[in-house]
Amino acid sequence: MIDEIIDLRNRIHKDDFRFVLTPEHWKAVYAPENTNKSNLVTTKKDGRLKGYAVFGLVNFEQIRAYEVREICAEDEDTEGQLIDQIVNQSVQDNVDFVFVKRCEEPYESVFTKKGFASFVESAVMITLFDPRQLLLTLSERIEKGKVLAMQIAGFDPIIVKVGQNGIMVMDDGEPDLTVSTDSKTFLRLFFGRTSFLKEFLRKRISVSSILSLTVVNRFFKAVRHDKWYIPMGDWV
Amino acid sequence: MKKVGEDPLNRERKTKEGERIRTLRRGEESAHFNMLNLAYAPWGSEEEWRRRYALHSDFDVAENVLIVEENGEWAGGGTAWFREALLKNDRKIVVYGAGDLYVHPDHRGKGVYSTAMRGLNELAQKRGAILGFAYPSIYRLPAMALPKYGFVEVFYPSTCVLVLKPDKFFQFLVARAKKAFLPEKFNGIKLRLVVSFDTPNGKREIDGVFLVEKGQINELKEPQNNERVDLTVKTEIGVLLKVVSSFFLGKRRLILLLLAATLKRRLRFRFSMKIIRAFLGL
Repeated sequence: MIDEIIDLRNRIHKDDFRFVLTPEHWKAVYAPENTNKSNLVTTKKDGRLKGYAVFGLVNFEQIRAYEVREICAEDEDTEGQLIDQIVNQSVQDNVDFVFVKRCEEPYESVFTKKGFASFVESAVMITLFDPRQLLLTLSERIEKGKVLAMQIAGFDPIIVKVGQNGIMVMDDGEPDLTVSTDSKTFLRLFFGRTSFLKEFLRKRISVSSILSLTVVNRFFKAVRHDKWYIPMGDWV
Repeated sequence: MKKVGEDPLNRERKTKEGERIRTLRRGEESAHFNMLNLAYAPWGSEEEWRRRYALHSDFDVAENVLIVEENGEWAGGGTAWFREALLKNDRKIVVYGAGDLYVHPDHRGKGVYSTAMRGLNELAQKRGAILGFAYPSIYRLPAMALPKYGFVEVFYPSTCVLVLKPDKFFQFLVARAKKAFLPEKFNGIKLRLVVSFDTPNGKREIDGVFLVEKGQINELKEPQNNERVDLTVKTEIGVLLKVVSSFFLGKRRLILLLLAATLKRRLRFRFSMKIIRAFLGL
């Protein structure tokens, strides 16, 4: 079952920035007290897994709540069925409330339809240790392109060749232009929270050659991760 | 990657006299669990500790759990969880999650949190982490303190909650609100809160009266209907939760939300001159 769960998760969130999850890891963080019907609900069609949700009991002094560590579904109907199963189980187990912290996933409205109140309570905060290695991991072989020096405040400049659809980190080379920014702006662009144009107009990014704005735009497009998937169970 | 000049993440990293960082020793697991519960008051159950510390794969308490000592006393600490993350091209990078940072109540205000946080960042860099993650509550101090250690807010996950027992949930909210500190200008203000809940068992309304004293919210027992209060707020639980979170997410968001909820009559309030004076600082 765990293999099926991981396959489904990887299929649904294949393009998202996410953590690698092995079966051992899944079991440890999602179902530590032995997976059984009380904390794992699934929806299947013709024997094929369409969705699953894992939840666990948390105690806040005298209050008992179910924390939904992950809910992953192929479509809106499946998500609704999973929520119904969790709510039924919660009523049966006499908990005081049920909560889930959502990544930017589809079918957000299903929770509202099922009577959940939605608000912001947490932030995912990120720090950048090694931008060169990060860009190197996204690097591919590029023959033709402009060379830019990416200068992130506090780090050594990174020489990158920018092609039509990708980037290549270089050990050295004479850059055609220099792009300067801070790590906050870089991270927000990397994770698709903002656009290059917006940050350029806000003067959080400076470009040495105004004629090369399209090249810089291509660079950020190549590194950008539009979606992320770090469900609550992965927060450890 | 070597940074230019001084390392900005660890620029204040100087071991103070009498301060020492070490990792948790085997056999100290129970003491660590007790320390977390003492500092967080409470942190959580033994099962949760096992989930995060004992069962977690690729995790060793003797390598990932840092302890800060002040003159030989256990003053605080923090934990690093290492993971691999997948980028859009399916290649992997090492990332780390910082968490469970705590300071023993007797050692607060001495820079112990700072030492622990910098220690975790150093450990992460040594282990080849490219990115570091933290998941603080926006209502608590770490969300404000973490930028000092290089962390920036990137995502705001939405929390969805279904209340099954309104009394208990209200009690939970009150307990959380009691931990918050309000500016002194609000001292002496009496507030009545009337919250309606739409539960699977039907609608419920809960009423509470609170007094702000020494910057803290205290619930007054058994409020009378005709009790004179400075501010009465009547709303739905969903709107209340959104309003509270908007306080932390910027004035513009808060004003828009208040306007929309008031116009839709999902939020009603009545206030005295005392409230206006308090807000204006008169």
